[in-house]
Amino acid sequence: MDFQSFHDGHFDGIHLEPGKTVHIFLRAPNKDRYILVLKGVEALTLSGVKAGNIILDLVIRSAREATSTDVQELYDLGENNDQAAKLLGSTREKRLQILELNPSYGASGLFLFESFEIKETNEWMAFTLRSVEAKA
Amino acid sequence: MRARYFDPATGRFLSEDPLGFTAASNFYPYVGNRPLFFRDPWGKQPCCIPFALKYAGYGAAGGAGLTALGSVAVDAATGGINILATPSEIALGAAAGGAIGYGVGSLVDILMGTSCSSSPRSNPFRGKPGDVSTTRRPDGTPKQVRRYGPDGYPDTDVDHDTHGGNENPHAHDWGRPADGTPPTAGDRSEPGRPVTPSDPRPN
Repeated sequence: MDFQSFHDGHFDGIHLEPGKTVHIFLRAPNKDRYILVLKGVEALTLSGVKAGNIILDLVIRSAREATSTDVQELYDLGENNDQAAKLLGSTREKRLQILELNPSYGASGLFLFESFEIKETNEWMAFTLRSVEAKA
Repeated sequence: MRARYFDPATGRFLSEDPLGFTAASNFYPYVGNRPLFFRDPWGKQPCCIPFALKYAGYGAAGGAGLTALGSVAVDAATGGINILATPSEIALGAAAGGAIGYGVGSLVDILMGTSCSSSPRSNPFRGKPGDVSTTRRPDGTPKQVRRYGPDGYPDTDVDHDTHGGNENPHAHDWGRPADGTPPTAGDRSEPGRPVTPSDPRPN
């Protein structure tokens, strides 16, 4: 499953796990459901969530492609360019990645994280059960 | 900036910011009244001013000032101070200073990664009736072209270069609920249809 396949698909929700893992629930145009698991999430912003969020595209960018505009949006920095430059530097040092969730309708998001996995629903449920059991 | 009418006489915008409450509690300021730090070339999403542009401004001011200062002479007869540089020489100094500032600022931008995207990542849901909004990828190719209907909500989306099962490009029409309420996800035609000559084109 590649990210381009989610064009005209749906963003169904998000689960923020204690710690730095974020689960993003997605539906492809053919109705298949996937969970994008982001690990080592440093920052995220999500806005405009509505019923039936339609995805324009999902874009992954490397730390080198991160901009101060991204950092300003992620950390609500406003005009504080010095802080943006520092955070951008640390984003690059840690080799973090950026995920853009761009909408045709509804939710718009930006996520700063270390790594990701795409899981099908069954695989994700098994993975989540294992994690819960391990913590119990 | 291109999404609103500006009255040069009063120095104020005549129309509301299309970003509405997402931009500021007051709909009329430009980039939240922080023009030193932000610009908004498309009128839809403020973004930072990179060092290249800022330094070009400082360089131009410095170049003009130095040119003028360098030509100062004291009039022997009156004791008054004259600036001998002509306006065109001062403008030339400003241009040279601006170019140097831009070069230095570009280097800083490369080192610090402080360039800014000039286009929003997605089209706003509301726009000026009849307007066309284009969202582009970083390489400049269009992603989505959206035209707004008479009520300011989307009328047609033309999606480009996508691989979601629809042909490329393809169009989605936005219908309207019979009760007159704003359109929602279910009012967007799915699957997309082939593009026709009457569909919006990238602007």
